Amino acid sequence: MNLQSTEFKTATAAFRDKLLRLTIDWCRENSPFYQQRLPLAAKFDGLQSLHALPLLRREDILNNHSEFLCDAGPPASVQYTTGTTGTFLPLYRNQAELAFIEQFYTANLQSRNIAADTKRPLHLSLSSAYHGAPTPIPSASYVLSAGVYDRTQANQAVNLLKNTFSFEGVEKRVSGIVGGDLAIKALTAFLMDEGIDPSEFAVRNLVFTGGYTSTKTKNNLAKIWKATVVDRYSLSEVFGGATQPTPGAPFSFDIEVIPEVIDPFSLKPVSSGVGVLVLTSLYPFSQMMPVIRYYTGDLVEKVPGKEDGEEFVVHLLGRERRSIIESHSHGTKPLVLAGNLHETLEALPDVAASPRYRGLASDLAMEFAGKLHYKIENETQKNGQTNAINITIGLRYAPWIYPERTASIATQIRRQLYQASDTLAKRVKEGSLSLNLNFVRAEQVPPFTMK
Amino acid sequence: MENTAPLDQLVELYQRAAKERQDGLMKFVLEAVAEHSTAEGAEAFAAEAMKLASNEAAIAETSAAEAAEAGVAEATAFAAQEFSVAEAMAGEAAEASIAEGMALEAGEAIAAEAGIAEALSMKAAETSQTYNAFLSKL
Repeated sequence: MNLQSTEFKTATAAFRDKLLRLTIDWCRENSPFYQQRLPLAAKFDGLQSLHALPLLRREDILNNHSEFLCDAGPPASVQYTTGTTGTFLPLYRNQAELAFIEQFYTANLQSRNIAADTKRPLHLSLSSAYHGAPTPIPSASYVLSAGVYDRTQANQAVNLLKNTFSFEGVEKRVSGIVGGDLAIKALTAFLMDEGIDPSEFAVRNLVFTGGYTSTKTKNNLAKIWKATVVDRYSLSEVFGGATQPTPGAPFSFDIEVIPEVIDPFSLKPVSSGVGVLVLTSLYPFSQMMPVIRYYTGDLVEKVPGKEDGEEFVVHLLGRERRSIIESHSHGTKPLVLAGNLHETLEALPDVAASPRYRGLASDLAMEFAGKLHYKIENETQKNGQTNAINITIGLRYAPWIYPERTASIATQIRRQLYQASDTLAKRVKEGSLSLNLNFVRAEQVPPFTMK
Repeated sequence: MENTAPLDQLVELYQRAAKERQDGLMKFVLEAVAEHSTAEGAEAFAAEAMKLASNEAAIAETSAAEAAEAGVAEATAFAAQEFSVAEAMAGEAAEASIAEGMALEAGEAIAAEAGIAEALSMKAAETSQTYNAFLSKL
């Protein structure tokens, strides 16, 4: 096939179009599920017609797992979602895709002109066993591994950070830490509690590979470590994701994945503004379980490219099911977004938090990696319109003992939420919606999951 | 239907796309730095970092040298962050995102061998001179 086509404005679009066509053909030929969903007779015209294909939801995969597979043989590796968002979902990768990934990224590395005196970065990867066997990808960096699940592991991580190595062609000190947000927060909390200044190491980059961390906390971590914080958006179901190069910046998508943003009510593509992220993985990076138009359930704000042909980027807003949104004539309007509510409450030390990685450091320090106590619910009318939003917030104290303080933080929370949503402010003002804040003691409301 | 694509051509196209993406990421970083410089001043930005990290109380202690140091750190980080993309890609098992993620166990699966954007990192190195020049003007 010809990969030198010039019909696209960008190489990114050309790359995605070519592989999307291969993906559709591959799925039609090899997956009974896709054979039904994407009949061979139906014309497919590449990237421009992707939006016309049916959406794929998690339940579709769960309910048709064996038919979904493009390869009936045993997988070379098994990964899985954590199951905290619903039923546990096993994800298979076959040997062919692992081999391609190895081959492709090796060729990519080899074909680049790398200056002879360039040192390979030395990175510390904080390991995780939450998602099964990771996919190995050839890399220029030299990677050390450690855990942070107990004090022994954390101490080993510290030893690696302190140590000076003498691997030929590799940096002498660890310059980057890569791990899930919790692991990096846990390590930071451990260090701070031990009186170790993280900025005394040689770390210049913290790379989050998962989890949700507010901009405020990312900036805090950047200052503590004197490092840049890079965040990655990804999910087990899709090979490829997006990168936020610096806190507060939008997320830019990998070339290996095709993003779309659709309205959660009409399911039509949105040109800008709030919508749900839909992702398509690409053959040959995904071969056993490619997902075509996968509904992620993540709300994003789509920011179109400023120049002709420029890819759009997104700001992540939180899970759709943890947010309260409404359909309006001009598109989806958020009333309360999960991300915004979290950031609002996170800024208030009054709000109780349950520590995580207990025993690694003091409970107070480990709250840094913990969960806040709150819940959000809405009441709707028959027409589906929300007429009440009830937020229950667990405080570190009995609210009746400190009524003035409780009233004060209630005002702060309302103000923040109104600032974040004109629609919410307007609806409350006109009396068509009530925003109820209910303050309780910590143990009266469980920790909130953003999943 | 031939379910293949010539690897060399695919890599070549990918590298052109990677350059586009690299330019996009760099723009966001530059915007962020510019925002710091206008909102608080580069010195103040650096001062905060130093203060919080070392418990030095006074902003007055912030020296031009510190600001410069922060600038260099940022630039270096920018170059290096490309490596990170790689690392993260390696953690494909990661269920990250705000999505799954906001959570807890979310997405940490990191591969021992990492990533994609190594390649990009070299491109980043090429651009770092420009970036350094930009930072020196702040």
